[in-house]
Amino acid sequence: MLIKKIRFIFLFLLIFGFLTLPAISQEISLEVKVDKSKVSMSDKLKLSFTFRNVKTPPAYSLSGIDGFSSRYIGPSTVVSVVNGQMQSSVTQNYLLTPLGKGVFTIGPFFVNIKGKTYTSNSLKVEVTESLSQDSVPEDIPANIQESLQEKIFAVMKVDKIKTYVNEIIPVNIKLYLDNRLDIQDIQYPQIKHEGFFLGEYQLPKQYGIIVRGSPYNVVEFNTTIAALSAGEFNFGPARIQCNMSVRRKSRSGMFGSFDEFFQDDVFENFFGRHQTYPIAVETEKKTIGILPLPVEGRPEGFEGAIGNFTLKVDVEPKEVKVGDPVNLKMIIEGQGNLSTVTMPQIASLKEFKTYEPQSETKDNSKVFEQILIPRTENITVIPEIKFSFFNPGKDSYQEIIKEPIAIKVLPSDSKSNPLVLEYDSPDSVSAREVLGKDIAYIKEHPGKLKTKQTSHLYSHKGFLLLQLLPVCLLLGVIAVYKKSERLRTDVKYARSLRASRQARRHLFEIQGLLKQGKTGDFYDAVFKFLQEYLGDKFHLPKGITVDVVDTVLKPKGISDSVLGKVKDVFKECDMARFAPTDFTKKQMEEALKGIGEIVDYFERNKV
Amino acid sequence: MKFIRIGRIVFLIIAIGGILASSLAMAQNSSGLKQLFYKGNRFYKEAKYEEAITAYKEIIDKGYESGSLYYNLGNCFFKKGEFGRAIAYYEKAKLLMPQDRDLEANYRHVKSLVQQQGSGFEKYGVAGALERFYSRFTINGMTVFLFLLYLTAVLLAIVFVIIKIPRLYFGMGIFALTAVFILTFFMLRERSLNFGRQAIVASRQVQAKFEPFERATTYFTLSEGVKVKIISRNDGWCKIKRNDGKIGWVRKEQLQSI
Repeated sequence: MLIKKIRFIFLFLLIFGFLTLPAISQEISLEVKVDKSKVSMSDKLKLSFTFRNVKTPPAYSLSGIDGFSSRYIGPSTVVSVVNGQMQSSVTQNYLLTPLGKGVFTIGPFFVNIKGKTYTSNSLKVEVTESLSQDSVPEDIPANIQESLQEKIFAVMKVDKIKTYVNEIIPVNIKLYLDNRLDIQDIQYPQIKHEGFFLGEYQLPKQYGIIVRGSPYNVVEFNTTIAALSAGEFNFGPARIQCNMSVRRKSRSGMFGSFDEFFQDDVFENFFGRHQTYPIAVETEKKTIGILPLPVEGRPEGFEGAIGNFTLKVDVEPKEVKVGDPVNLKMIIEGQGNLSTVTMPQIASLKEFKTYEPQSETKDNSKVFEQILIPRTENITVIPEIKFSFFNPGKDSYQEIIKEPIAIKVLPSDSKSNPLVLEYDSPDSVSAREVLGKDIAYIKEHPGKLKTKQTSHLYSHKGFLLLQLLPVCLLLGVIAVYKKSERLRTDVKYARSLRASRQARRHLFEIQGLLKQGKTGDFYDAVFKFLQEYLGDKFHLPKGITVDVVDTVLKPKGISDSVLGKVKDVFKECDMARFAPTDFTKKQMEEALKGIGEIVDYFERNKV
Repeated sequence: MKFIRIGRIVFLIIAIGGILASSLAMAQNSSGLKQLFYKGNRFYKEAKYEEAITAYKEIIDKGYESGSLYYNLGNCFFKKGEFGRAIAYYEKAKLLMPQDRDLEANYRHVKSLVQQQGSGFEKYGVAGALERFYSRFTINGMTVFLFLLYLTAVLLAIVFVIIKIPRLYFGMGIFALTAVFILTFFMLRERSLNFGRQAIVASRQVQAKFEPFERATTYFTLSEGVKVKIISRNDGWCKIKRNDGKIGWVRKEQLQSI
């Protein structure tokens, strides 16, 4: 219980001590500050009245400041502990509106605290009609100052407005941003650069400066340009895009005009919501005059290099054998457009075999490496090297000549000279032929003059009919092939076909025998014919007799009259064989007629 | 019997005479046409292109044509600076002598001189390659080619029936032939559908309108040398279709039909 009490008392003392100690030990002081030392009539000034080590400062009435009307905005308090000592300061803020032009003195102010009078410092403020030039960096154009965008603007500076073609000109773009603005996502400037080659941007620089008494952040972009052709060209404007974050006033709901926003105190809408707006800032455009490189004094072999350069030549090794490579290194160093720099000219390399030179561009230099292979041991030097360029600083051409460099070439080890393979040297390649372009001459002869085509072959009737021919051909071939195939494989069919084919011939022969009156031969022939014919027709073995009528023909449903006739003829033949003289011509004719009818029947009816 | 024989001989003589006479007349006619052609050539040599054109066109008016005739007309228009018409006549010549090298060279040269607005509409890839391949044929050439393909297929079938080549080879052969046949058929169809319905823009800048009159709103513009399809004609105006499918009306004299 006791311990608790002691703790409480201790704590109380500690806190009390902390609070009272500084009040006792610290001096009271007063300070007056303004945010700008120079204002225009349309502008406002913030005046802060800081009381140090005063717990409850009086709301000092600032009425009657010469040349200004004032309005109390509110207090702000800062408490800081430095080396265990607490310091507190209370700042009363006022907004001053200028009433007239001139230089005004604000203060000193006298304040009575606890019976003691304290005096503040005094300061001078200049009020101008419009913002004067001298407090502003000289590269800020006047028209920007007046505009609303004086809180954010960009300035482009081009080093030269008269230049030569291909000369490198540095370009500097500064983006000024009022310190109180919240600007994000600043992008690289986009410049309209018709007629110019635009180089790459260096890393942007960022720093703060004071412009017209207000703190600004500056983002600085640096790049280079080179003109592509002579004439007068517009360069710019450069456009920088960024985002601005704005605290929206919760009470107004809508964000007010741009102007209104900037006039608000930053602390006023501390709890406002943030909103991001894209904004673009444009610089002015510049007109740049571009001169062509002068013709006068142009050295022979000048290839367009522009700048101020030095040439360094290095040969490695200086002692070689025939066929071994020598590395000739040429370093061109200096300020200027390195893309215009071509390889220095080497007087004559006929005694060397050469390869395509390699080049490498660094920050301020360009290195060319040429491999040379000596063809003979008679070589003593690497010939003179010449490099010429136009120096825009001096407005004249300059030429650097490097004297021949001595080298020693030893004979090759190998017996089988020459080591160096011969290719067409560049000299022997004829200049590229330029061919003319025009139309070929008219035709001397009219060719075949035909009546004008109105219809084509495909609509011609004959041609269309012709299309049937291949089909017919195909069908014919197939039919013939199939038939021959059947004749070859189907004996029954083949025999039946043979029977029909030979019937007429045999009948004719038989008729001949009848005419001759050879009865025996006649009946022999008839019998043979019937045997063959019926045998082939019905695919029967050779030597058939009259029995065949009942065993084979009858079951096939052949009409009885025909069967009867067949039987009759067979019988007649049998009889005639034994007594041929008994048969008259009439009977023979009957028999012939009979077999004629039989054949006729079998050929007409499919059996 | 004898009578009939004499009649036959008389008939034969008359027939031969008739054929001779008509071919003589034709020869005379054709020699007249040739004279016109040579006259045109003479004018061309003297750089009288207008007169040369008149002479050449007289042959066309008589109902005759040839590749060389259109080629020379193309040259005349080229010399006059009328590149659109030159292209049109070269195109006409190409229909009759698609393999002529001078023609191809001149055609390309003129094409390279006109502003190639239409180049964006040209076909590339397989379709373009096919079109270029078939442009070497005349329409009749393509027809004959089709017939030969058909004949080959039939012969292949006959060989298949008689010699008994493997079924697979036969199938592959027929498939290939059918594929080429179908392709050629559709190319021929396209060509014959376009025949006489294509034109070349003959003026520097032609405005295609929404309606066939002067005060109508301009829909799009056509630069010289662009090939268009004529859909219909109406009172001195042609309804045309550009390769990208846009349709508008153009005055007749601003076009040169192929």
